[in-house]
Parts: sequence; structure tokens; C-alpha cells
Amino acid sequence: MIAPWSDEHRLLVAVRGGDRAAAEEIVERTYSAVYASLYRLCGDGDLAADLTQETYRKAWEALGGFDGRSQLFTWLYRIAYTTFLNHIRRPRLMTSLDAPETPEMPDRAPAADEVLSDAEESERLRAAVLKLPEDLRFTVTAHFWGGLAVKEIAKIEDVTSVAIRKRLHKAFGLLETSLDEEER
Amino acid sequence: MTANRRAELQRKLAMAPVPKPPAGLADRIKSDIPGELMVDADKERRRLRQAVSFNIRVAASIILLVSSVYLALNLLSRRFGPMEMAAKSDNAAIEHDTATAAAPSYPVTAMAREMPPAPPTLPASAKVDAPKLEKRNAVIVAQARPEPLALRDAETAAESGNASTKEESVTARDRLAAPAAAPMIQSDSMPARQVLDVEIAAAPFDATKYIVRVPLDAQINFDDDAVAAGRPVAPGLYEIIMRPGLRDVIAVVHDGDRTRTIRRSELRTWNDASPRTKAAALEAALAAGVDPELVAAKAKAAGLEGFAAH
Repeated sequence: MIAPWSDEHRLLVAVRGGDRAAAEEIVERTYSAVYASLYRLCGDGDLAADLTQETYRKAWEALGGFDGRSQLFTWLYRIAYTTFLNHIRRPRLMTSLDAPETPEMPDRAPAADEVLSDAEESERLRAAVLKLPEDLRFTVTAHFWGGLAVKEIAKIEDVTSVAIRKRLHKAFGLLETSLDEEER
Repeated sequence: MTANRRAELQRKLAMAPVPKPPAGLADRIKSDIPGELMVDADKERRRLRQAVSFNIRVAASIILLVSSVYLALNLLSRRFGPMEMAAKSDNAAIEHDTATAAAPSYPVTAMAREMPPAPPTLPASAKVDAPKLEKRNAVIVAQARPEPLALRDAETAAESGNASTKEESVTARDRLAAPAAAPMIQSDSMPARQVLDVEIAAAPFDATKYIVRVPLDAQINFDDDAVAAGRPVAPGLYEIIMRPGLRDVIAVVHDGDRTRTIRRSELRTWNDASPRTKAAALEAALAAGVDPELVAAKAKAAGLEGFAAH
């Protein structure tokens, strides 16, 4: 989970005051997490990088509308997620779920067959998550891939934490069914 | 779903491979940071105000559009409603013209002999049967050919041999008391400026007859199911003899594109007739040769003191 920064408010005030260094600091602190979330969503390293860049472009434009009710990263994740959805909704630019690019894994020296097996399993899971209904998909990806706390998701979705937990429970049920069907 | 299975799914989701961001991504993002990051509060406020005013303009436009359409439809329905009726009535008049041309014309006095002395009690709440109006067999169109009222009265009196016409008139008037309470003639869903000034009331000297006052240039088509005979006695004034029965529609009056249907429920007694109608009827009687003293007495009784003195 991304822990809220103690000086988040200070940075935001500085950025709104035109402080470029503060904006760069926000980028440094958040871009890895935004990229990771987008990579998990799209399964493509280059595409995730492009979407990350686009996310920040939109963020600068929309900074005046950020009311500070949620954490900055939660707000950024929402923009990233919307950017991803906009991308996959463009018919000709649809990301293929069947032939993903092999991700650049952290160097932990696994066996070749292990890497292949993990990658396949991850890809199946990603495909299943992306097939979930919109509200469940956002909740699952925001919680597990975006690292947002249930409370933060509830805040951004304007529902209770209980509702978010129910969504997660329902999503697990659907994911299990989907994965079981694929295994058969 | 078992707890184990759920935990496994959670683990897989949480442990999804996290790749390193490509080198230089942070610099690319930083290079996109706009030169003027400063958020101008006034500018934002202005933008918000513009958005709100735009929404208000859109809402006002929609309201204006809906109102205009409603108004236009309302006006069109008012304009074409009476015209359609007029067209139907005109068709009926054409049919009638053909019918009257072929049918033998007989004098009012002869028809009066065939009629009972007074019309039955008139139902104030009689309903109009519009389709029947269209299907009426023939309509009596009043001809602009005045007939001396005195002659007619004399003939009627001679034939009936009854000198107690006045008493009968009183009785008939009493019977007409109920319909006299009917409201003033109102045209269906017409604005006041379009209402034709039409009135039907008992004749002053013969309770078996009625007088119909219409605008001077108006054309009147009597329904022969309700009216046995009719004739003009003065410009814009007709004298009719009613048939017994419950036929509600008595006549249809046309004046330009305006149409008015006169119904049985609008019948008034002589006493309840408007001063204008009373004066017109008495003047016609005078012109037709009725004893001026009788006319003056009637006028005095009707409250037309000026007319009586004249």
C-alpha cells in the first residue's frame, strides 16, 4: 500500500503555486507505482510507460480540480485507470490479451520453466480480472495492483468500506469461476 | 469459495510481477510538466462560473424550446379546430342547399299548424351528438326574405281561433324557466375575441316561436331535426319554430372562420333574454306591423323604457 505522505499537502500547495521542483518530486515519488499499476492492467511494458506519461499529462491539466478529499496517489490512480480504459476502448488500439509481451521481471534468477509458468498464470489472472464487471474490476485492480486501501477506494467511489469488501468478495467468486472454466 | 482458494487468489493478485519502469520514464514525465503550473484561483473560479452559466443557458434554451412548441401547438389547435368544424358545417350546408332546392317549400304558418302549441320541457343537460350532426338529412337555411310578422301572427291567430295566446305564452315561459338558468353561450375552447355573439330566446308575442340573434354577417344553418321552420325577420334576427323532441343541436352559425353551435340547452325565456335581443325582436315586430301599443307595453315590461317611449 502507498502510505500517505506527511508533506503531501505542502507539495500540492507548492505545485499550485507554480513550484516546478515540487511537481518533479511528486513524479519521483509516484511514477513507479503508477507504472506498475498500468503494467498490471495492460500487461505491456512500453504501453504502460506511454500510459503513465499520458496519466501525468492529464494530471497536470486537472490539478486545479483536485479537491484533496482523497490522497494524491488515489487521485493519480483514478486518472491512470481511466487512461487505460480509454486506451482499450479505442478499437484499433485494443490491447491483445492473448499474446502479451513477456514482462521484464526483477532479477531473482528463476528457472526458465518457472518464469514461463508464472507468466502464463499471471496473464490468465489478468485476463480474468479485466473481464470482471466495471465496478468489481476497478475495485480489484485499485486494491491489488494500485495498492490502494479499501478505505481510500471507498472514498473515491463514494461508497462505504463494507461495500468495497463485498465487491472484493463477489469479484473473487467470479474470478474463481472464470479461472476454473479456463482450466477445464 | 473456500478460505484457502480465496487466500491463493489474493496472493496471486498481490504477487503479480512488478516490472521496473523503463529507464528515462521519469525524465519523460518531468519534461511534460507544463511551464506554468500555477493554478490561478480566479481563473478557475471564472471557468467554473462559465460552466455554470453555460448550463443555465442550455437549460433556459430547452425550457424556451419546449414552451414555444407547446404554445405553437396550442395556437395551431385553436386555429384549425374551429376551421375543421366550419368545413364540416359548410359541407352540410352544401348538402342542405341541394336538399332545399329539391324539397317543396311551405309557409311557416302551415308548419305551425302541424306543430304542438308549445315545445316540451327542454333538458338542460342534453348531450350533443356530434357525429349525428354530420349525418343530418337536411338543414334549413334561412333565406334573407323578411316576412311581415303581423301577417303571420294574424294568420296564426285566425287559424287557431284562440284568443288566449297570452296565457299560453305565460305557461310556456314558465316551462322554460329551468333552461333559462343555463349559462351564457360559450364557444368550445375559444378565446373571448372569437366567441360569436349569439342568443336564442322565446319570441315576444308567440311562445311557440323563438328568436335567434346572430351577428349581421353570419350565416346560420338550422338543423331540421330540431327546427321545423325558420325565417329572417330583421338583419341578424331569425324567427324559428322548434320541433318537439330532444334534439340538442338547433343550428350552426358561421362567421368567417368562426363557428358556433346553438344548442337547446341555451334556450331562454323572453324574460331572461338580453336587452339587446329584446330590443331587436320588438323592433322587428314593430317593423312587421304589430300594434305599437302592444310593443310599447312589452318593451316597458321588459325594462326597455327608452324603447317604449320611442
